[in-house]
Amino acid sequence: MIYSKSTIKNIADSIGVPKLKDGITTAMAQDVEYRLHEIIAEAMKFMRHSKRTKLTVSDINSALRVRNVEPIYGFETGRPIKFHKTATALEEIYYVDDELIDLDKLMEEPLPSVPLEVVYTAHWLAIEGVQPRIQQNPAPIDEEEPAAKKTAKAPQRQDGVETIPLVKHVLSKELQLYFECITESLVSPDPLVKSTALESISIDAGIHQLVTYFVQYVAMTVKNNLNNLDTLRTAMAVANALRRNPNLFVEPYMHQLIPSLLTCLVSKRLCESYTEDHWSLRDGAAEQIAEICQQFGQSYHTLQARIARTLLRAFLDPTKPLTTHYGAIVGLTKLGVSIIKVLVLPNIKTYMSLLDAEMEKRDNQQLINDGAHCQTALMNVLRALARDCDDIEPLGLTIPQKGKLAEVVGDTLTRLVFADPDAGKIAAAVVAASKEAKVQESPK
Amino acid sequence: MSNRKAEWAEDGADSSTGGAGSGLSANTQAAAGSNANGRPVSQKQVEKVVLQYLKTKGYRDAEKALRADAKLSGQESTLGDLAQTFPGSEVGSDASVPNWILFYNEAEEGNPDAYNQSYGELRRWIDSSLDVYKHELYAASYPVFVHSYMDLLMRGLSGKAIEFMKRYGSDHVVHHGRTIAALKTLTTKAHVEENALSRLYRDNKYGIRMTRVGFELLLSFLQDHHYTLLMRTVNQHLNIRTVDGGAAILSEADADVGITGHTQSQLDHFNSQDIALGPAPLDPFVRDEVERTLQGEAGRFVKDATAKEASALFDTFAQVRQENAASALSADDVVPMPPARGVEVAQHIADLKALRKRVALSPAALPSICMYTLHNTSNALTCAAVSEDLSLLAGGFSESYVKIWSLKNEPLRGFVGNINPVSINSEEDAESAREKTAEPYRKLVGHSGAVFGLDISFDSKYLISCSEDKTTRLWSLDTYTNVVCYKGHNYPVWDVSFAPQGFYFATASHDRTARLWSCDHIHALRIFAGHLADVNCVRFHPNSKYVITGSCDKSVRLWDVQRGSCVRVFTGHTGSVDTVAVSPDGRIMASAGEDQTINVWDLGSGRRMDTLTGHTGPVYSLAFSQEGTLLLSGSADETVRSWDIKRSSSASDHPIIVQRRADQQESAPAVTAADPDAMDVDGAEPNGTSPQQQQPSGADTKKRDAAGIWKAKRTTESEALLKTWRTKSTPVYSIMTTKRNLAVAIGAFTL
Repeated sequence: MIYSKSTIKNIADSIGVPKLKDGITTAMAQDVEYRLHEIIAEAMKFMRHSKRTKLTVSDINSALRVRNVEPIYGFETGRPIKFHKTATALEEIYYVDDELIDLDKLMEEPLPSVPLEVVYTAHWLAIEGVQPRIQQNPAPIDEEEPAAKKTAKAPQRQDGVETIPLVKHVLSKELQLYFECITESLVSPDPLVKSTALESISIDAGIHQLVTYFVQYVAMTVKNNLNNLDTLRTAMAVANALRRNPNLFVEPYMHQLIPSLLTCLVSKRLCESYTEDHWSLRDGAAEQIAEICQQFGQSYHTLQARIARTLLRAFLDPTKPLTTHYGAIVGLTKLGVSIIKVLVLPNIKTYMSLLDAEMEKRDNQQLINDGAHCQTALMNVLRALARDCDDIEPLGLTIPQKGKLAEVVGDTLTRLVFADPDAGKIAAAVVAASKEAKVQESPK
Repeated sequence: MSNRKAEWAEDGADSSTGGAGSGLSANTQAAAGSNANGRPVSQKQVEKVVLQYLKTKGYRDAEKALRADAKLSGQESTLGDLAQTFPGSEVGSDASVPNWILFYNEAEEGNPDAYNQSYGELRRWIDSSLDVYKHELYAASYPVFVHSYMDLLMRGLSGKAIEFMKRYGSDHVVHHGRTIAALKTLTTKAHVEENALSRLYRDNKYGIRMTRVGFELLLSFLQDHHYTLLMRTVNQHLNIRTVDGGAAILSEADADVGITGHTQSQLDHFNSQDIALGPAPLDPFVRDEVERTLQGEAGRFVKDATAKEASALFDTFAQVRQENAASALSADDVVPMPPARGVEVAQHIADLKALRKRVALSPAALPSICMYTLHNTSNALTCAAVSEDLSLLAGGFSESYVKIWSLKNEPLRGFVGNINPVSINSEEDAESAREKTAEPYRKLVGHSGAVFGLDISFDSKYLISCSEDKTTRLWSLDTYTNVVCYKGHNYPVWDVSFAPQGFYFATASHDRTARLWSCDHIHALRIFAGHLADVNCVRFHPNSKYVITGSCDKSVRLWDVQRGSCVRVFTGHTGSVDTVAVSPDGRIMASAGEDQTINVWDLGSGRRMDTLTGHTGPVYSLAFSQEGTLLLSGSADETVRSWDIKRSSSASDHPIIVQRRADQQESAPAVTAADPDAMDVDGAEPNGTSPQQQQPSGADTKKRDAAGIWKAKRTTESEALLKTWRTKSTPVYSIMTTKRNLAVAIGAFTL
């Protein structure tokens, strides 16, 4: 029994019925319990239909109203109700504290703030059955897949392929075979086999389920083979092929792909010996990043800005090796003329002075080689500028003009520019661009 | 003499404890006690009872002796009358001495209407009892009903018995249809004595399982009202086993329910009524218009992409029609619809386009799910829906209003007041009649209680909402105003749903009925009564001919819209049913609710196909993929789950989809999209893509063990669970799939 006889007696006392017989209190207690059950069962319906899992005072009141009983006013509040305990001579009694409110004070208080409007947001909970790892979706929690986590930590890197599916995932035997076959072909020495595999990735329909595995493959390959130029080239080619495939929906995996591309662009070393042509790999990666920015810039408008910021940081950090600088310059160049104007051009002079200082040491063949590449890259930046403004009047190659140019890009580059067949045009474009940048800055 | 009486009394006490042998014994004693307390049995009464007993048992000598002894000759005539009134009472039955004494009630013995009255009261009482116990009490009332009927016949009160059957027989038709039909044929005492069925009931105890509380409620009800006739039946013919724990653990399939050797649940028989589940045939006007439009388009743009598409659509149209023609409803079965307008034609063409663009879903190819999350609802959101064209999102709030958002973020400009329809002849006119500026959301204010359900019509022109205030309101999405207020229900309306082709809608209410309405009538066209408790949800069958309701009485019912009668009852849930969904082909239905399980039913046979467990909260919403092979569920446990619906035949596969799948396979010969032996690449196997390479090593087996234990912990998840997508503390209120098989889920972010 929920209510004891004494409770009934207490309540009867409180409403002015002094002496109740035992039989009556028992009957009352039973009936009260039943009625309570009834009301709570009714209130639970309102709770369920309000799609809540907590019973509220308003549910109880709705239930009372449905039963044609006067609702109990005064308890509907946003705050949880607290019961206080007090001890009498016989037993403990629980009651709800009624706060005293000073009306004058209440009148003087500023109005409470208006509650926030109900708004909606949209996101992908799943894309073709796979939950994208985005901010709106919860991170996979440990307790849900403890076994999976534990084993995932165990290193399994015999062939550089490590696939850790995020969630339980059904992959048909054929798809598994296909994936295996492709990854094997990709490491094959025969260029024909390799190119066939890449072509398959870039045109096959129906391999969307494998996209996550390929992305993982690219990431792991890049991570584990940082000084194996050929493997890195293959990884880049896979990334490229994946993006080219018109049947695949790679968008949700871009965030996993971009770090690998950036690695191939600005990493300190990408090969065994510095004589190898890692420059072309960097160029290719820059090309891909630029394409991604162009393709998805619309839907993720912070994407390009974020990449540009990362590259700029690499470009302006004098502690970074020249290879990284080269990658950053190339990457920024590919991002477009406006990026060049805003981010590269104002910094060229400072950078060139640093580079010159570095090269003057002349103690290391590799350093000189790298420096030369950086200079070429910067020249390309200037040429890209010139290409952008085709119709510009070429600047006369006079001493004052040379001074003007040197003001913007420094002496060394000026020399190189003047050696260029298109020198006039380039100089004009650079000077114009720097003026434009200054004009833009000055109102601030 | 007094010695003999004492003996009997003792004998009685003994056999009542020994004989009943169940939880009942204690209570019979209590009953005896209360009998003694309530009405002190006088010497004379005792003697009268004894006399009656002796008479019925045929102990004439003893009777004579007793009469002489007690000098009761003065009352002989009255007893004789009594005896004549019930010439055959209890003959042939195993009425024991204690029963006779304990349950003797002069008032009832003498009243030929006693059964009628007391059973009627019992029924009324069960009806008003708590939903939790209603189910078991209802089950217990069935044997009481059968025996009351037979008792009446045994007493020769055929007229009363027939009346009794007429009045209360329909209560049990659903579950015991055949027995009731057989019992109806018994009309005399002789029938009861001869009939095999009645002998079965007379000679065997009827097993019942009840919870302790339910049992006590029943007994105290019978005692408090002195329904000793019913009490006697309960004691004599029922074998009640009490079960500890909640009402949830009772299940119908228990072996000790009913009479052994006699199939109790005759639901199958009830569920074998004919129903037509085929698609509704296309309106001839719409058909011709669609054909004309497509042909016109194909002709106008010669050798053009548009023409190509139009002719492809035309082929699809022909294919769909041909395929539907075989199974379509006959003309008599079709629910009448208002004459078609242009809207239907455009809609149909859009559907065809969607069909061609449909993504094939299967257990191997899971859907994309777009999730709409509502913020700042502070627990006030009660229901939500998206329009079929994904242009509008609507939410109902406990603060009595409905809010609509444009999902395209366009301003929702309604028509300004006082427009003259005559002056609007073109798009520009209509455009100028709209408000100049508007927000991309709207509030519909009109209800005076929490809005519990809403639905948007197929053409996104109307919204219907139902509320705690007992009304259902139709809102125009052109003017954003309330158009009609439908009153009829006397209690809060829990759910409302438009028919697939609009015009009709159905409501489900706290008053235990579901009702069918058409938009142009303010009164309900049909009232579907039969559920024992609140009707929680209502959905239309895709052919609009049936309505499906789920209720607090743990059952789902299928109602024929035209006849207004129940044609299928689905029992098996252990909690109230809060949501139902029908597959687009109209063959399969799924229901779920409070008990966190989803049941999948075959509508045709009325049988359960599968029980899907895994959710850890009440299930709020269900949706089938367009092929009907996948089921998506949204729940209070903040997950969306997908389930594999195993279908015996591949008939559900739409031929166009099959064809397209084949095309895809041709272009990618190395890969097949759907594979019957799909490997389960589990998270526990990091090298899952190349299992052949894996050597069984020590570490590996350990890994498997860990996975095994982990799986064993979650044995409650059924095999059919394909995948679970969790949300960030967002209970999923509603889920639907569009015609192109994109899934849309709606939830409210709650802290």
